[in-house]
Amino acid sequence: MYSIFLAVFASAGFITLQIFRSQASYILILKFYTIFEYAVIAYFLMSVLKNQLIITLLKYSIVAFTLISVYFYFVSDLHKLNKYPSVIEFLLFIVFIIYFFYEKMKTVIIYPLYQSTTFWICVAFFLYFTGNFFFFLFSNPASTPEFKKQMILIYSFVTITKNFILSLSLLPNEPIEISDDELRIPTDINLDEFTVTNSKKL
Amino acid sequence: MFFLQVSASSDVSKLMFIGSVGMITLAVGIIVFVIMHQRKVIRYHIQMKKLEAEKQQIYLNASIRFQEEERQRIAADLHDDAGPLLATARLYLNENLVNQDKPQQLQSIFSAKQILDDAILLIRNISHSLMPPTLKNFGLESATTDLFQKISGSGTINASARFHDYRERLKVEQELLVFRVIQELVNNIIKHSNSAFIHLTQNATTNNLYIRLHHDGKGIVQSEFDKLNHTSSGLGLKNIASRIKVLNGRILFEIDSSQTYYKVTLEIPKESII
Repeated sequence: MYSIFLAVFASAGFITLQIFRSQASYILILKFYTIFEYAVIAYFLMSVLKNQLIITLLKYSIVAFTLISVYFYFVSDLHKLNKYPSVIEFLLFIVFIIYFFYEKMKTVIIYPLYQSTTFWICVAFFLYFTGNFFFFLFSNPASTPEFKKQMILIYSFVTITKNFILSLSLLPNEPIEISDDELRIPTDINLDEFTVTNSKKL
Repeated sequence: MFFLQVSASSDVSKLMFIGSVGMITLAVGIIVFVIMHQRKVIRYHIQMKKLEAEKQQIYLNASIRFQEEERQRIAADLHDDAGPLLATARLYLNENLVNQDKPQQLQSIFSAKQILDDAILLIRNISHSLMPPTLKNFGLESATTDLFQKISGSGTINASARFHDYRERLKVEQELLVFRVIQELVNNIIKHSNSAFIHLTQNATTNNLYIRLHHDGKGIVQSEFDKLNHTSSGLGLKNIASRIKVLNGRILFEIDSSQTYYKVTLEIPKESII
């Protein structure tokens, strides 16, 4: 799903920039890309996390993030990419992925985490978001060419690493988790109904 | 080198470079920590599994020991009680009986008959202790109710049992194991808890049978049960655990949320492995 999403946006970006030579359309596509990227990764995290509260938070954060992005779309220049939605997105995902690691550390005890596909997907995104965080935070269209070159280098290195780990993540065969041996008594059966006639504690 | 040249020309560039490298290092650090920590947890889990296997071995040994003790008890009962009784009866019915006069003959036969009756009763008692007839003929519900009535009848403790849903009987072997577990639990409660009442409740779901014992004396919780199971003493608790294991069931010792009663809950699968 993520690959299809990337392919669609990369093609759209290429067409607008190289064929139509429209910078404004390209920026618009990038703005949409940020919103969809957030939604896709949030949806993925929703499917791998177990805590219902975090899942609900992620669900509502998609709506909130879309609204923030739309707001920044209207307040910022049409020809410039506003960095704040991306910075917010990166910060949120860094936090959510750290929570994912915490949850996995707590619950998966049957097999090593590096055998898990979802773990490596999260590792890839985690490296991508942490590595590019400062890039987006300090990104400035009016930067010097050297600075831009450095930005592109960092961004490319991190993105290639992400895509490399993402492609490798499909290799491990994730074992099925076995449930624990705890006794869970059904709540709908009556086991506590009795009359006490001579308890010492009454 | 390129980064160093750029970093010298701009503070922001330097900050971005250091920040990015720092963030990547931190991310890698977190990932390595997660993997290492989880490996440690897995090692601990494997260690626990090993301990669990050792515990199973202790259960098995306890079960074998219990079986041996039971055999010795039966042998002792037969040797010390039934043996002398039958020997005495044989003495009354010896070859001199035909030489005795009529009243003496009748007296000897009557005495021998009484001794044989006692021997029959003794053997019946031994047999009943091996397999209670109520349990065999009428099932777990009747045997348990009977047991609780007998306990209550002694007047020292108020005991009652209520079966909510026992329309479908377990297999006889399962019932015997469950009954033995109940007996052992009740025995422990009477011996150690100093409680004034014991109440047993039974209920069932489609797949499992549930039995819960409540008492108001001094009880134990699951952690204490697990701890006692690991110690060399406490054969009774090991027997309970091994029987539950054979039944493929589970047991839970807990205290009521009101902190007034202790509860012991048994979960027995209806389709057991035995």
